[in-house]
Amino acid sequence: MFKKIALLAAAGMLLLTGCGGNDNRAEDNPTTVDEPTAASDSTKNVSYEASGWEITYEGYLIDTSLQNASTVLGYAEVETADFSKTAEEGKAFCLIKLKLKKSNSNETLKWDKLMLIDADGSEYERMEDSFISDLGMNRLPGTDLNFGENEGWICYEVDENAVGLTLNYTFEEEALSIRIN
Amino acid sequence: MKNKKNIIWILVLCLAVAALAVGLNWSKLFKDTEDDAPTDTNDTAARTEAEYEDYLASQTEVDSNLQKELENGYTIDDPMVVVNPYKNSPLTAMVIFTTEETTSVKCVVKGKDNKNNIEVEFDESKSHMLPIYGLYLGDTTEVELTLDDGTTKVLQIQTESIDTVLADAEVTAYEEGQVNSNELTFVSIESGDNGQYGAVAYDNAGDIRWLLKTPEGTVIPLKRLANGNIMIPTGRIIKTYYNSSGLIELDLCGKIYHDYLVEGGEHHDFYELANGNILLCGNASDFSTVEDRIVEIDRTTGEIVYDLDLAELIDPSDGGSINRSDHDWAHTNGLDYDEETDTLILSCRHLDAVLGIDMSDKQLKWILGDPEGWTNADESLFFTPINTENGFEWQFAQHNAQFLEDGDIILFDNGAGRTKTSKEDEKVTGDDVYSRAVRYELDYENMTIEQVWEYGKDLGKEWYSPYISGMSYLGTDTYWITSGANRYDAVNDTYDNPPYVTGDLVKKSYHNQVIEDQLVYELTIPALSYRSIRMSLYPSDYTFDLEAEGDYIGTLGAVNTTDNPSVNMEDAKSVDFELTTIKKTYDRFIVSGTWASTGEDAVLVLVDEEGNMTSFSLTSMTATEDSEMFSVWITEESVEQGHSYDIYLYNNGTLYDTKQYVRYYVNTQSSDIGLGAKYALYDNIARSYQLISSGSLTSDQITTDITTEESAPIKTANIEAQITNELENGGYTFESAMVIQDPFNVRL
Repeated sequence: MFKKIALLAAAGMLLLTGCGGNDNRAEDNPTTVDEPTAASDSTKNVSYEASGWEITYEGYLIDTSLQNASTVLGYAEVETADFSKTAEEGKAFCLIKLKLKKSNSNETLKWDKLMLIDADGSEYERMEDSFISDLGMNRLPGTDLNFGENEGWICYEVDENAVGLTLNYTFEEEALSIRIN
Repeated sequence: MKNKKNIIWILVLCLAVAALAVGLNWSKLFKDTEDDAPTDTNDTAARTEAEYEDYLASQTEVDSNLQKELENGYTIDDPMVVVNPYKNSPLTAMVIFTTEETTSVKCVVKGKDNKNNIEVEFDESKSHMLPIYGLYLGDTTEVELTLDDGTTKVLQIQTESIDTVLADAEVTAYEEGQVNSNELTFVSIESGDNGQYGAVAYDNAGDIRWLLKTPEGTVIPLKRLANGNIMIPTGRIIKTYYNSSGLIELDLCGKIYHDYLVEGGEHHDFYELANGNILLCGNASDFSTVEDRIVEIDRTTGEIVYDLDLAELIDPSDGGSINRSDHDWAHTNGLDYDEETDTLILSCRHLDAVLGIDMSDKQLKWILGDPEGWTNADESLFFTPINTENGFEWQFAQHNAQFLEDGDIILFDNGAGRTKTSKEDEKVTGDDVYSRAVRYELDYENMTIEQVWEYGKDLGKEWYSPYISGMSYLGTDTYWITSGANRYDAVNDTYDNPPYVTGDLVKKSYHNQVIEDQLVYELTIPALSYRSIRMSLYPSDYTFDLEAEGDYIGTLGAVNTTDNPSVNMEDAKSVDFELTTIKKTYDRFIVSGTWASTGEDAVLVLVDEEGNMTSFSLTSMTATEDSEMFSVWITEESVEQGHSYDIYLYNNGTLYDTKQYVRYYVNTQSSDIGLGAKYALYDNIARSYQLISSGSLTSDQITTDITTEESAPIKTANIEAQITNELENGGYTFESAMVIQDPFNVRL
């Protein structure tokens, strides 16, 4: 199942980047992407509209470690690049894939307001997740969103046994809650 | 009678809408039928259609969203700021607002000190769409905007931090006052960023002020065009390691204006001619040999209007270079043109020579290089060194040879080996290696050559770059030099590492400004650089063109077929290896993956509705002990149009069924179809095509301004959603039917 997510992510990455300025190694060359093994994963495609934003939740995965092996073409050789990342002890990575499209809004979507909350009420902020790109997956920008359509993954570091996760955002005039697991 | 006529009308309209939908993306518009329909008599398992991608369509959506923001009435007091609007140029932003009065806007992108401010004045307008360049990486940059009436607004624009070795560059020499403060160092990156950012611009303090995300993180090379845009290779590799499908023209925002597709691809260098056409380094169309072809493409049509096969001028076995191979015997890595003498100047690394060629007559005029090892070239083509008492050396494995106005030639002499095969015992190796930048004065009548300047020899191995690199002349005895591939092997304590040596090497590139013999500026980057150039972020008279749509120009041409394997389709196995890519893009259909090994019999097999096979050879990309990567691509000219093809791979005697299919639309260039948009209607059940044309409607029923016969369906999710919405919710009747002209913007 997660392979499908990863492929979707790769496809999304290609669609979203503007040009030759895109990371389309997979398009042209046999880049090997060993997508992270997921202890738990799921694909969903649920859309919400709130305060002029269209928010589509497209899936998640939870695991304590993430690995990727990719291949990069150089001028005269092929190099491999291995990447792995392990969560702190007792923690797990919760990667969530979203599509966020501004339809008619004057509100900026701020990442520090997009909270992941578990059944115990613990709140998590999006972590510094630039490593998502190293996993060969499309990452949503780390800067606040105020324009256009953006699709990709974000990551939270949550308690390893966290359940009942919901993604929450409070707009100026309404609140949004998306059930993750 | 009237009812019957109405029914016919409804059918025609439905057919037209359906046909248009097919032109866009039948599978998405009619998801229910797509999910279970495509089966054939030989395969009862469900097949899925290969993914389709058109990145320029995504760009058009960005333009559309920017336009919407422009209409939202933002003011100078509270403007809209979109950072990295095209998602590939993270240190740019678009500032959007309107003013009641027409005004120009002065903009200062503040540097960490005033010497690194970036200033530009945008044209007069009431609607302001201002591209801001020169933001700092992972930091807040102050941007000051001033209107004609003195109104000033200061913005604080934040960019995201990016983990890149390119940020670790250092200025290692700097004599202030000797370096142009209005220019930055634009570097074409060869490798160093794990395949992400292929071009970068540093200010004189060594801070990154512009960064471009590119395929493979490689750009070979970047140049500014006469209209102010830049041009780089597409980065869509069609032949390892760096042969791109062609070139793209873009601005520093990352917006692409043209994507040029070139038969045989593009590598190493290109040159914009005075008429706007592009001269470029290419390959034989079937890649039987590489880097021995020069083509000129028409800037408007992409048509190849000049084609030079170097094998017509030079015996491919000649030259005696220790670096040559039969497949890559010339390795043309630099291209320049002197309009006054109609001379094409080619730097050929694997000939250790620069060739002067009469472009119109396709005649070899001279050879700049050591005559040693040449056996089939006329002796009169070579220069004789003079005044050698001040030092003279021939160049070896050189790059980036260029004509200067006075007829002199400058080049980067990489110096790989510094000998020919006939004197291989004199090869320069180990601690003795060196590179240099050199200027030769040439007497073309008497065929003499004098070395009038050099730089870098004394720097020895620590400045040595056996490949890539380049140089340019900034005027008044001032040179800009890139020693791009200095690689140190700490284990063996050596800098003498040819391109094929891999491993844990310390990579550096040096970017030097030298006045006469004096180093006045040096930027050191912990990554390999193909070349670097000096230029301003904003070209003169710059205007951002929001309305211009990116387009594809030209074609990659047909890919040769090969013998079909002798197999029974029923014997096909499921794929038991990794398929990385099965994708159709505007220019190609691509399959790649990794399996244990690529056999000599390996082919891509496409099977049409009748069971007819068409096969194409696979390319092995790279191999390890237990796996091998393969790739294959074809173009629409490579297969018969109007068919759906099941996708198989054959390798080491086994046929694999990918369970996917790819569709090729009917070629709509036929002249007997009539005026109007034309699409192929694909029947998912019967898996067959029927050609549909709006020309089947009479001209008073649907009008169009379409004037050419060329069209190609372009997928746009937004448009198909709108059509679906109109179909389901519009409530249109026969009497007031919805007619959408050119709904998919097929750019006829």
